[in-house]
Amino acid sequence: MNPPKKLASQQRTDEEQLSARLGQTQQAAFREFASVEEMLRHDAVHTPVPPSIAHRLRESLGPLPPPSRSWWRRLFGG
Amino acid sequence: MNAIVSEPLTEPPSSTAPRTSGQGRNGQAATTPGEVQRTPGPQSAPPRSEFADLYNEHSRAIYYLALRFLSDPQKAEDATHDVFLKAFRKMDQFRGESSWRTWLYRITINHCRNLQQAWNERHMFSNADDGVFENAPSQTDSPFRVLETKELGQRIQQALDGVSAEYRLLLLLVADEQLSYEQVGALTEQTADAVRGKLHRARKAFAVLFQKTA
Repeated sequence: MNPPKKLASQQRTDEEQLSARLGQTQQAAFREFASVEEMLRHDAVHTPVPPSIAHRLRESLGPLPPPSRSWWRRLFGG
Repeated sequence: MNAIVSEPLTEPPSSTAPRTSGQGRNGQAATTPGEVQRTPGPQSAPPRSEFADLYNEHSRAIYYLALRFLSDPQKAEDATHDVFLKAFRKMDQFRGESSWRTWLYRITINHCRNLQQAWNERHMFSNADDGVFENAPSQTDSPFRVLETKELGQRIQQALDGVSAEYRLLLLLVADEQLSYEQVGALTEQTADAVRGKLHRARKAFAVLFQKTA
């Protein structure tokens, strides 16, 4: 009686996989972009800036003096 | 250093960040009433907090440009770090003749081009021939209907990698609504009309390649 059991088990696995795939398809939404630029803007908004950049900047800027004021700012009192 | 980049440094700016200078491409005023124009002046914040503001407002745009231009997250991270470091050192040279965004883009473009040039010299890299896309059918004028998955970014990157560096840069800069065609032209050393002309071909080249990534 082993083969039928195996078959049933295989069928269940297939159904589970199909159901999982369907679930994924339903979750994934189609999105329409009017232009290349709109798609790039969407991509940019959803592209996070790695926090490590800020950490590295803090370390890099640590020993540096603050930037000096430009001539026009000194002149106009900024 | 305690707070050159004060918290929260990595907080992304809103996608509708205020325009900083120039005229928008749709004819809107670059700075709408009530928005703070970031031209330096007597009311400017002290340099370090000003730098933190600068980072918080523009790091996403700079990182995105570097990422999609260089096509390498690690290089983009290094480039973004280096660009802001240069910006910090050169803040005193900024005279408010352009927007901060344009100024930062200029540093980024130069930095990325130098990196690319060094890489190309080592790898004998040749740019894509955008002419091959001229006669290819594409959906440039119709909407892109795509499955919104985490792979979208990879598809975009693949398509961008296939066009020339010039077209890639144009598409990325024009996608930033803070920049006018004149500003994009200034950044890429050409007229606004030339930008418009090339943009059409750049869109088409991108569209053809993007369809192939499906």
